[in-house]
Amino acid sequence: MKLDVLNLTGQSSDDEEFQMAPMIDIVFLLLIYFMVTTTLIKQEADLGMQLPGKVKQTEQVRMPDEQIIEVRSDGRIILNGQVFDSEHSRSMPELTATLQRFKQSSDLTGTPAMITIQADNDSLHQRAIDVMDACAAAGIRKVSFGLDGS
Amino acid sequence: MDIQLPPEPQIGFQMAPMIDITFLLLIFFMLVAKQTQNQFKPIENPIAEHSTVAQQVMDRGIITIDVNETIYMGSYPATLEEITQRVKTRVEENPKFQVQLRIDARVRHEKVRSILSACAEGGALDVIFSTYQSES
Repeated sequence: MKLDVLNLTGQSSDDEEFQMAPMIDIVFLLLIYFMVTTTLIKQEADLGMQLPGKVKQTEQVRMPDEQIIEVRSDGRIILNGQVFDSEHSRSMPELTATLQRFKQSSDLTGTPAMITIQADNDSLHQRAIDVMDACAAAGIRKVSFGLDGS
Repeated sequence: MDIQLPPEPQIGFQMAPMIDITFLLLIFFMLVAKQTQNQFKPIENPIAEHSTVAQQVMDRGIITIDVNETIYMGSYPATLEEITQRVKTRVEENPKFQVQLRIDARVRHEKVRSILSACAEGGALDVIFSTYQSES
């Protein structure tokens, strides 16, 4: 019986050693996985607004030039009784162009341009953000929300 | 006369420092990925191309509303009354306090309005909506 061939002698052979190559392969795979998943986490951005607050009676208040934009539960956007853009599209070129003209006229008269968003109870948050985005594109910073909903 | 030449130095790729650095990078990315995931409740932020990435995010309190319309202050669930009270306390401590609202894009506006009313009652008038600048 050839014990040395079957290695039943209990002695370890000389060429047994720690295999580095597979370990490095796995470490590199893990590294690449974590690098890719970490960069996939998207960075959040800001859209600001100012809630209505109390104003002291002694302060002089410049009345802003205010427009009310309605957001309906079906996604329609209405300004002065007119429906703007498609309710299925997030981009709002018509509303943005109108708001830009509104901003320009407000700047000419020296009154701050202000938008109040009047959204239905069942309208989605994304739709209100679409309107805020159009306001930001037109350079209007004073945006607020109406308290009534339907 | 036999001249004994010194042995040539062995030039080889040094594996040990490379493995050290690789392990450090691996540990770094593992920790960062874990922290980022656990910080706040995951939601589907609305998209707004003209939103801006803030350079300074100090003095902010974060309120999250997930798709089930559950409200979280920081990482913990909270009621509207608790939010009003905590916002009031924070505004008294720091007048520059701002509220950052992380609201899922599919949340109904009724819920958004209730949160805005709670913030206004607490005295926080500067409100910031979290968005993504693009879908990708």
